[in-house]
Parts: sequence; C-alpha cells; structure tokens
Amino acid sequence: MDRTLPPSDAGASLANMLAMLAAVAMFFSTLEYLIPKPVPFFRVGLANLPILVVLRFFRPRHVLALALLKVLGQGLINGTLASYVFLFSLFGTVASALVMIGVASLGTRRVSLVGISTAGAVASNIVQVTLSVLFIFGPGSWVIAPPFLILGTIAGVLVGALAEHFASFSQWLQRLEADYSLLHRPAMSTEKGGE
Amino acid sequence: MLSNISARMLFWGGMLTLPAYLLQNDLMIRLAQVVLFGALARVAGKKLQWVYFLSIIATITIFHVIVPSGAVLAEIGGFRITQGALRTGVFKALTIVGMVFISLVAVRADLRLPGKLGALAGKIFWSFEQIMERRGELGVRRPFHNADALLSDLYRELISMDETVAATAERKATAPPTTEIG
Repeated sequence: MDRTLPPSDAGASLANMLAMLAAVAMFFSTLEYLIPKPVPFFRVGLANLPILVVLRFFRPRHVLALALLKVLGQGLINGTLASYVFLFSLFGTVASALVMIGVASLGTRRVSLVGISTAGAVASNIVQVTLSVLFIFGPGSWVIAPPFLILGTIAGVLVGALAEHFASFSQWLQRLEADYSLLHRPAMSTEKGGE
Repeated sequence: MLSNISARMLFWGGMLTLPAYLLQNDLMIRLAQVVLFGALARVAGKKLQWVYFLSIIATITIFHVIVPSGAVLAEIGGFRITQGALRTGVFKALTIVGMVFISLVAVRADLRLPGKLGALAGKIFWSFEQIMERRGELGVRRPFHNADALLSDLYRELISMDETVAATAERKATAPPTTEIG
C-alpha cells in the first residue's frame, strides 16, 4: 500500500501539483471575491485558469479532482460552504469541467483554450441558471439568463485568452507537464510493451 | 508563545475559526477580529506590513464605491459615495486581510497532517499562504512572467520539502539495528 518513491522523485508527486494548482485557484478566488459583481452570482471565472492550463496533459479524473478542490477553496474563501451557493458552484464547476474535458479531447489543434474556456463557461452558466429556476427563484430567473449568459461568454473568452497566453511561455507549466508525464510513464510503457 | 503549540493544533484551530469568522456579518466585529488575528500573527513571529494591508483595504474599498448602492453619504464632483457600497467594500477588504492573518497564524512550515488528504490540505494551505505573502512580487509591468517565476520557485520549494521528509524517512529506515532486532 505505502509505495516509497526514491528521494529524487519524491517531490514530483501528483499531490504537489494538485496542491499548487488548487492554491492558485484559491488565490484567484480571493481576487474574484474582491471584484464588484454587475449581476448577482456572476463570477469572471479566473479560478478556472489552473484547470484550463493543465487540461491538455492532465487525465480527466485529475482535472475533476482539481475542479473539486477549486470549488472547496472558493466556498472557503467566499464563506458559502454551508449555503446553496456552494451547490450551485459545485454543479456549475463539474458541468464546466466535464464539457471542457470533452472539448479538449477534440485536440488542441482544433480548439484553443479560448474555445475550451468559453464552452466551459457557457455550460456552467446554463447549469446554474437552470438550478436557479428549478430550486430557488422559480421561472423569474429566466429574466437574468440573457445578461448572465452574455457576460459569462465574454468572461469565458477572456479567461481562455489569459490561459492561452500564460501557457505559451510558462516554464512552471512545462515543468508540471514533464513531471506529470514522468509519473505516468511506467503505466504507459507497460501498455506499449504489451502491444 | 505560539511556538509551544504544535503545528497541527494551530492548523485545526485556524480551520475551526474560519467558519465563525466568515459567517458573521457585523462590520465592527469583523474589524475587531482582523485586529486580533493580526496581533496573533505578530505573536506567531510573522512580519506584517501594515501600510501594505491598509493600501489593500483602501484599493478594494475604492473599487466597490465605484458601483453605487444604498443611501448617498457624500458627493465629490459628480461622484457619489454610497453607504452600501462603502460598507461592502470595507467589509470584503477586512475579510480578506483577516483570512491572510488567520492563514499566517494557522499554517507553519512544519505542518504535517495525517493521511493523504491531510497532507494534500497542508500543502494547499502552505502554497496559498506563500502566494498571498509573496504576491507583491507579481508587479505591474510583467505580472504573468513574474507569476510564472513565483510559481516555479514555490513548486521547487514544495518538492524540496518532500525530499527532506523522504530523506529523513530513509535515514530512519537505514538506521543502526534497534533493540527489537538485537
């Protein structure tokens, strides 16, 4: 059960990567908390940046784990862990992550991070408006749907562009990708060996 | 004084404090909490740049005052300062500063939580504290490049912390025979 890694590899663990990415998401959640909101419940989605930048090389289950950590961190910072806002955020984030994973699987040459982010933002906003209609505010919520979706789409484009820009030069990201592929190499080489 | 308390107990103390801190909405109580946690952070040996924190509070408040809400308190030129916006701005600014103080008190470098999830939580809070503490390094001119350098540094530090733990474990494992063997 307790696999002891050699010291040279001990630090390059998935836990270290997830911890750093989750901390960055928490930092962005902090920034977002401070930005005045033009529409209630609206978020720019800066906390999605860490998810976006690892989408190209993280496995889907690890992306989802990071998304969960992001939601928990957001709940902690916004003080919404014990409220329905947390559930909105949870469902919105999971829907967004699933859609982004799906779109990213089409290939990075076909879809940029801007496209992936926009798709994720639209998915998240649709889920949140739907939940709002079904469980909290009733059909009246459809009134806020158009500005919510328009702003969400704009924010998705913006966050995607930021992610694309950062990913284009980030050495930290290159290091994460190298360490991640190193951690998963044994499984991949075994598969190849079996062929 | 706080150095006599174990890192784990401090962490759980901080975690238990957070909900009580975040779930109350009185501005004056929030102010008192922030002053208290700031004092505790100083007792814990952390350096606090009060001017820096005051400038954060001022910046956040100004940002919020831009969006009017509630009764008009004053009017400067054509610009209205409203009660709701002012209160929200000050409250949010104090909340964030207080959270930084709680984090400074609750997370120490020697923090080790049990289990995989505990270790992960410890690492997340350590990384978050480091980012918050060093966010001044991001600057205005090249924030993305500076953020990349900062994250690379933190990642290296996180790895070296793990390597230290692994090396200690290895030294213990290869230590001279104990009485159990003898």
